[in-house]
Amino acid sequence: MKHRIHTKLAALLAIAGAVTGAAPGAVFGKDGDAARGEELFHAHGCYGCHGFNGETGARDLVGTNSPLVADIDAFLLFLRLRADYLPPLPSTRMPAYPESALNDADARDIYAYIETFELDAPDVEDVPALQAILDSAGRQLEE
Amino acid sequence: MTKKSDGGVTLDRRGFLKGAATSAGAMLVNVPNAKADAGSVSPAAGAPAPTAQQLARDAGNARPPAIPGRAVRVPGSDVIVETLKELGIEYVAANPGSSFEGLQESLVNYGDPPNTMPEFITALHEESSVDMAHGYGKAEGRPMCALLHGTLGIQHASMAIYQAYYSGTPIVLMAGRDDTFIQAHTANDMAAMVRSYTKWDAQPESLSACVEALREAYNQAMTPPTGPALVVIDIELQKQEAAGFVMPKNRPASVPTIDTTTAREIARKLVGADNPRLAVGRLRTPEGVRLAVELAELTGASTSTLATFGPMSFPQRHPLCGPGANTDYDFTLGIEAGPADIGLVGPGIDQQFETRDEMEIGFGALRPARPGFQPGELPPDPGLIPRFAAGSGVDRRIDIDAEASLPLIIAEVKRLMSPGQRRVAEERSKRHGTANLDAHVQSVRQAVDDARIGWDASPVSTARVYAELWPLIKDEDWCLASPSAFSGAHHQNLWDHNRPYSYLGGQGAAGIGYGLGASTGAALAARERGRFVVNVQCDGDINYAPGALWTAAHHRLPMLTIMHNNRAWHQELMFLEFMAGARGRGTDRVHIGSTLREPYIEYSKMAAAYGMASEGPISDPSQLSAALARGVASVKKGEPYLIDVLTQPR
Repeated sequence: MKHRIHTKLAALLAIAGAVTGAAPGAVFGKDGDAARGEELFHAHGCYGCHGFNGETGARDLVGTNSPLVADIDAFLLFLRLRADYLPPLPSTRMPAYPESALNDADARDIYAYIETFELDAPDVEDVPALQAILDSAGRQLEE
Repeated sequence: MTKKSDGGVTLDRRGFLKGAATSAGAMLVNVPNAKADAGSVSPAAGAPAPTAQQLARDAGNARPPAIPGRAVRVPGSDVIVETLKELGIEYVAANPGSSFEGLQESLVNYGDPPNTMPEFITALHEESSVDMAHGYGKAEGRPMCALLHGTLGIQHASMAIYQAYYSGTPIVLMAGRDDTFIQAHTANDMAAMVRSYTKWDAQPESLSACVEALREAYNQAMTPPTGPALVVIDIELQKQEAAGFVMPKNRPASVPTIDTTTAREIARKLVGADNPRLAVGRLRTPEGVRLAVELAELTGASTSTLATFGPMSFPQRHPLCGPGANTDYDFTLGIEAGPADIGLVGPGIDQQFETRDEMEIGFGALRPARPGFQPGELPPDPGLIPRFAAGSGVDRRIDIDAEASLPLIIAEVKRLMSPGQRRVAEERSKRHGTANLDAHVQSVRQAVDDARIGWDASPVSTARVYAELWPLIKDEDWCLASPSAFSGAHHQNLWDHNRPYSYLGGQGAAGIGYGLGASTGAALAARERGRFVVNVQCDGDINYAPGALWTAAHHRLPMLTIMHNNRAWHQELMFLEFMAGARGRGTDRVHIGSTLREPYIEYSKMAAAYGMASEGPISDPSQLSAALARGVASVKKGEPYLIDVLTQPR
């Protein structure tokens, strides 16, 4: 299911790029500053949904192969193209970020910080608590 | 302090002063308000404001005027306590109030031994009292009491009553009424303030009527739709002479059940089906759970459960719980749940609004506010409002309490089943057991795999909190009393929910401020039964009424509190971020009013201030396991414990 959604969004982003004339890798210029991006990641509350490390929140950033963070162009287009409508129910979806709220330079810095995230997922056998849970379930299978 | 011979504790002068020395700072600011003492309170319209004399008496600073004395041999409140004993009420939670001084005196002094069945539980806020009763009621499927002081106590308690009402939890509420003292503390019809969201109330005018009212309140709370019921008790009834009073005869309530013809029809379908199934929702009591298990085992039916969403449902790891060996079910019976071919759905609290909402406040989505309103439109979280899932997807709904109907259906199934059919059911059960165990292991494997992510993250991942705790408590008779939706609900597949009280579910009305009080109430139920209560405590939630920490410490309740300290009302922070984004104004200021920072709150110190053993904050995940082990050891010794853990937001 997740893969199908990503595919649709990737297609949407491709169309959006065509409409705005954004050429991949050419529109937004140089790389961002990851250290400054970390401050902005916290200041703008990105950790709220994505976790402090981009992997534990309601919306993972790492390990998902999401096209939305595949490169800086996709990321910026995604920020800018978020809908600006008010939903009938409170929403925890990705907020819209027009340039007046988050300029290109700041967004590039945040992206640079996101790029430093690495998936922290040790093997189960290296985590005694998790291995114990698995063993316990497995023992029931043997019994 | 010195121990009394009866196990109680007396406070000598040295002990009191020792306590005073450590809280001297607090004493300095605790100076009586000079303006209030001078009687300079502004008069208000309506009920007269307290007079200077009344305030002085309320503060204990005045000698009461000479009044004609009267000797009472058997106070009416002794009879009230006797009634509570008859009903099997274990606890009465309250913070003291003059409107029930007679009843409180009887609670602590009447009986042999006194202060037992029921025991007076000292709360620090009426919201906590009712939350405790809420947690107790969910764990036990029967009520304890919360005692409220006049108009003030009812209003303090109203939020917790509201949540208990939405969750359909049985509670007996009592409120003292004294119209001879401070007028602002009384009213002609105090119960009206919460009538819309209590199931039943009464304000008896005689002691005999009071006894009947308490019995009726108990019966109303316990019979479907279950919920809180309130009795307002005048101070005069508590103080009147009751020598020679004869207790009226008690007639326990009965619950309407399915008719024999329909029971037989359902039994025939279950027995005749090649692959029957039971969809099991939330039952009323542990007996209902036992009956559901008996029916499943008798018919060899696979079952679904809501045990990971709330109390009183089918044991999660029972061999028959799961999809079974064959998911092509040819007859499904709904037991307070759907989807099903035939569903037994007991009355829900929403049906009470028509008669109870006299002021037509129209609370919430329970009332069909729009034409065509369907319960399915509500948020799909059966842990929050389990009753609403009951009729969902049911082809033929029978509006009758399932728990009361199960004995008849079981009897009919037993009558109908031939020895051959019993053998077929047993063989089917074995196949289901194998398939469900395989599904169980697969779900645990997936949950473990998910829990690895961010395992070494700091702040600590919420999955790690649940995963590291499980091996330490899995062999205990545990109860997860706190709502888990905000902390990732990782217990759902990492833990085994096999008892009616394994997980007590959501807040009722999805309002925060509930978790600590409800967990304390669950720990009251646990204390005499050798259970171990886990409270994964959200930081925003605890700050509404943290005084329950003291209650848990004072009464030595078996409760391990682990702070899910993300330093925010985090759900609201995320809502606000979207809102700011939708308006194009950026998210860099939405922490204002939705986070708990500058300064951070130190929960281990908060617990220590209330006399509870504690540690933290812990941000290094490698320190978590040892801290949890210390906490478990402390609780098993009879001392509640709090661990402050700085956590990822979700």
